[in-house]
Amino acid sequence: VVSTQSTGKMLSSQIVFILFFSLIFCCESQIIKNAERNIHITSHIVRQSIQIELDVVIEQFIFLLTENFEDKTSFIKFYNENTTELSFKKEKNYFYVQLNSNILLVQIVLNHVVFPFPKEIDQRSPHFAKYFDSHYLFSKYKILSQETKVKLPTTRVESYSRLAPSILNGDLIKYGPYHDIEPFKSSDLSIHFQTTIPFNELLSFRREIEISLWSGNLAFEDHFELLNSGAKIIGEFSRFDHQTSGSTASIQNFVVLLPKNTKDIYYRDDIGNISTSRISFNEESEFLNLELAPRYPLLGGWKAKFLTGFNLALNNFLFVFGNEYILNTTLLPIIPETSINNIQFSVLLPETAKVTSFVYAGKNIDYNLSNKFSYLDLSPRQYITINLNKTISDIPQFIQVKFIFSFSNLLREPTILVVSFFSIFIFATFIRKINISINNN
Amino acid sequence: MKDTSKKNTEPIKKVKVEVVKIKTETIPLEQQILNFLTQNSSLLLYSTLILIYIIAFSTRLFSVLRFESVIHEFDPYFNFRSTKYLVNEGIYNFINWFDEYSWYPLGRIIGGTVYPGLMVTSAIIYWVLNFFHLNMKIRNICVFLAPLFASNTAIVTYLFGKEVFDKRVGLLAAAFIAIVPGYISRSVAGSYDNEGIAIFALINTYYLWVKAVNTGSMFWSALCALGYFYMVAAWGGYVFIINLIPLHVIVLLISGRYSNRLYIAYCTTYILGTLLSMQISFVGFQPVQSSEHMAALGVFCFLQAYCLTNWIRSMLTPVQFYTLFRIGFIFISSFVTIALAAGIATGYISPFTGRFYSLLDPTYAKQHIPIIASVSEHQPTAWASYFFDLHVLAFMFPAGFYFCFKNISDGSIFLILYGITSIYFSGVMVRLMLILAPIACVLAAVGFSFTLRAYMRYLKSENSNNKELPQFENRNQIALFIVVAITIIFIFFTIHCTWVTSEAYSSPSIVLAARGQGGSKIIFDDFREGYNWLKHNTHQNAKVMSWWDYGYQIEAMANRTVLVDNNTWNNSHIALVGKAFASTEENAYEIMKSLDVDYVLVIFGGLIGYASDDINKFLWMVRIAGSTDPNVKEADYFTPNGEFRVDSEGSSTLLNSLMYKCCYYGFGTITTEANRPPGYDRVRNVEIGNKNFELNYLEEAFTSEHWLVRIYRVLPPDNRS
Repeated sequence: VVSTQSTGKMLSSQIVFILFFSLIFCCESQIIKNAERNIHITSHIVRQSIQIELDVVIEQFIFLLTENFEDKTSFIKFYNENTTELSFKKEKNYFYVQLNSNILLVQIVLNHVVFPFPKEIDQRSPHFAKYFDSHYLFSKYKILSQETKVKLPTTRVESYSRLAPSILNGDLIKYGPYHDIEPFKSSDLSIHFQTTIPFNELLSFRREIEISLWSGNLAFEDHFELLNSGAKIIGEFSRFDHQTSGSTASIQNFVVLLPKNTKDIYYRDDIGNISTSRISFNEESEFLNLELAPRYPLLGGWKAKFLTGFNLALNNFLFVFGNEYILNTTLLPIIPETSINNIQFSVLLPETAKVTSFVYAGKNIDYNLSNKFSYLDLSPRQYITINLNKTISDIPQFIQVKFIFSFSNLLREPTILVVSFFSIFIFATFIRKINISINNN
Repeated sequence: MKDTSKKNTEPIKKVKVEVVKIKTETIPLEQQILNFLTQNSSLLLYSTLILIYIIAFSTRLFSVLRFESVIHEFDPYFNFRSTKYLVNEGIYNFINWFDEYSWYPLGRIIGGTVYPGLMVTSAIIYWVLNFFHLNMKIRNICVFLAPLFASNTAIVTYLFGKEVFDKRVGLLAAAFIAIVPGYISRSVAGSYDNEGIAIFALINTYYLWVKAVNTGSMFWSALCALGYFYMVAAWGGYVFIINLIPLHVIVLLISGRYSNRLYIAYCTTYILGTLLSMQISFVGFQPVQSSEHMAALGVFCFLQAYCLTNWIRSMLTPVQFYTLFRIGFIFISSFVTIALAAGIATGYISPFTGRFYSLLDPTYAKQHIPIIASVSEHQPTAWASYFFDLHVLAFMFPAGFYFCFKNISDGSIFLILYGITSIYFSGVMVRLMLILAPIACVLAAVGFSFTLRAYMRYLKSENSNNKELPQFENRNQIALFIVVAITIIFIFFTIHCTWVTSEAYSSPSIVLAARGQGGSKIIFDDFREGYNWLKHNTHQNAKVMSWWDYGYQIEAMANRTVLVDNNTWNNSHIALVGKAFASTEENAYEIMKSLDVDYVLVIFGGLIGYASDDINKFLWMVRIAGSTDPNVKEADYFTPNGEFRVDSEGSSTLLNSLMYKCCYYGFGTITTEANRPPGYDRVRNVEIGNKNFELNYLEEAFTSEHWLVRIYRVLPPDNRS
């Protein structure tokens, strides 16, 4: 009897507990007390930082992106109030964040959400663009109070949607506070403003790395396909006007940051060297500033293709544990204010090395394996390639390649050289000894 | 007997040991080294040859060190593009290659209109290296191919000299040809042209020919035919070989040096060589049809007739033979005359080509074919360039003739003939200086070598009291003086060659460099800037109209379709483009529309003072256009005084032509030099005459940083303003 009573009690308390939590998770009861959005538009890249304050501590928060933003997000990260990064699961535009707190911070970087408008301009016209969003934070939860601040690149604003209360002050538009917004509610926000920073867009970026254990060298080659995705230039291009007064939002320089001990930098394209580049050392960031000027200035809609290459000492990047080697390097150099559409990253391992795993952003990811021959190879080397769609380029992103390599295989190349030279001499000696003439004398 | 011999030998042995001891104690180190070298002369020889090999390669690398590993100039870009095609697509696709990027709308069958030797050579090197996993990029192979073959040329020149005279002549000739500017001009790194390997093939064929004549061996004759085949595959200049060798045969015959060796060498070489040369599709049936090859065929037939006659003569009495000879001669000569006349009349035997005529008559091209005359390398050679390109070799050349006559042999007669003919050809066309340079090296080497050995013998210690040598007063001092003088001449020759290579022949011409204030280097990379812009910012099928000089570069670097290029196979198509540039904008628009032109590209040097721009080439465009269309008159582009001026006194036809407008559009407002009016052209050194005009049918699409390359978009018809 006692036992049944106690189980009954426990059962009822469990039911109460479950009911209580299911109430919480059913969302109906949850509300966002306060939400603050800061939208920072510097060029064509938009950075949003959102601070959400809930009324209670919850375990899992469901964050929503509007559907048209979903495939334009190149970066999204969630933090709690201690700025600890939170893990999340993504399902379409739903992000299930493990929160355990009542304050959530979200960092988002969006590409392709600022559109040049008008789409075509001539060389001298100012460059305008439009940004579309919602006045309200798109949310599954009811929001009691929210506020949005939009920072624009210039103070010249042609028009902006005015949902009261809203105020334009210089280059800053403040929307809100809005109160008691129901879930999933949206209201179109649009801003038409002038931009001066060119729209650097890398249609594709390809990095090739070759590991050389003999020379202790890590050789990089980065291939760029750059487009100025701003308003297309129509009509004539006058070099005279370009030289005297400049052209609207044209790409003159393309900056790439490289590690400070980079050496043997080259900059060329498929028809030869490009002589217009400069290197300077930035004391503050401890990076080399590689300023690449394309052969010609890129006006709106113009493209250029080029590549850079450099060497780094291997010992800063390669870690050895017996037969296991870990190459720890970056996916791409730091390229400020540039959107990247397509990334290909490949590594050429030393001869006879076998890859075991490829880690990017803390996760094992799939890779393509193919074979390639390099100098003096008897057997093909493993060539690992990964393809990524989108990422941001202004913070370093690390990748790890783990592979197995037997140290004794380092002796292959000198052995090949010794044997081949020796056999040449043997052959020459042999040839000199034999008589190939037809007659007997 | 045994005892005495033992007694005799023992003391001698002792003496020998003593002598050796004394030597090791007293002889200085240099002397020891010299002794070692003279005792191991093959070591000295091979190390000298290796040094020559290295020097020949490395002296041609100035442009790579100063600029980069890049293909130079115009034609090399076509060769480079074709080589890439060959490497990517394979040999059969290359032979069948129809190129739709050139000569729009005609296209060009490249496989059948090139000498493929150069491309195949690079491709084979590429394939072999890649087979051994020595991954070298095809561009680098192309860039370094000419220096590599220059080194090889030095080695075959050594063999050539050795075959005709001896090792000493060969070594000197090899050393000369390694650094002679006349050859370097066409074989610096990046100068990826047929001539780069053709000179190797030429000297190689001549070496094998002389070897074949000297040995009378079918083996060497067959090798000579193979060498000839390589030359045919490499360069159109093979016609020189196929005429010089028959000439050699005839001269040997006349001078009474006929031998069975000569018969075997010539017949084997001619038959095999002709059959092999016909395998090159560009040559095809020319060896039996065209006039340029008839001399070789004639000599071949004549040799057979000569042998037959000798044989018949040995069977008959002189009187019978004389009658037979008279009848036979009349019969055969009339038969040959009729056959030749019939062949020429029916067109089976083709007449001489224009370039060949201009070889025989230097004024021919200027009067009849402006497109040949317009090329600077087809101009007659100036006297100064002999000194510039050959230096002391030009003076030692006649001495070489003298020693050749003095030591007459089959080989030295060949040298004389080669020398005389190439002197003539080099006088006709500047580019044929290239053919003269190798023989100048060999003949000068003969001259120097015999002079040196005549005086060096007095300086040798063991000859100091030799009574067999010619005796004269102060002979040792005079000998010493001459040897020292020649050494000094050699030193100056080396300095001159290096200076000429560095200053004159090592500019890639695709990248220009100038010294700025303070001595800093300024690079003008406008050509590649313009071509690169075309490549990435125009439609893939866009057609670009430019003067033919830039055709190959646009095809290779911009990957766009051009109307005319450096192949110049269709004169009237080039004339049409010339006419478009010479017409007013309105008339040019009609021509451009009929040719589907999307972009017009001109080279303009007026801003930075680059003299070989399109305005300076413009008169040739007018002349070439006038050669097919009589409405285009050269006189219209001159002032009444017959001057070609772009200032306000210039002819109005010129100032309103498309070329003028494309070059000077927007230029009228620019101040190029201080204290000069705006629109001051720094090449012509005048203020331009027609300044503030607008373009109605074109719009400026792109202009490079220093205005060297200007590209205009042809507007669609409905967009006329």
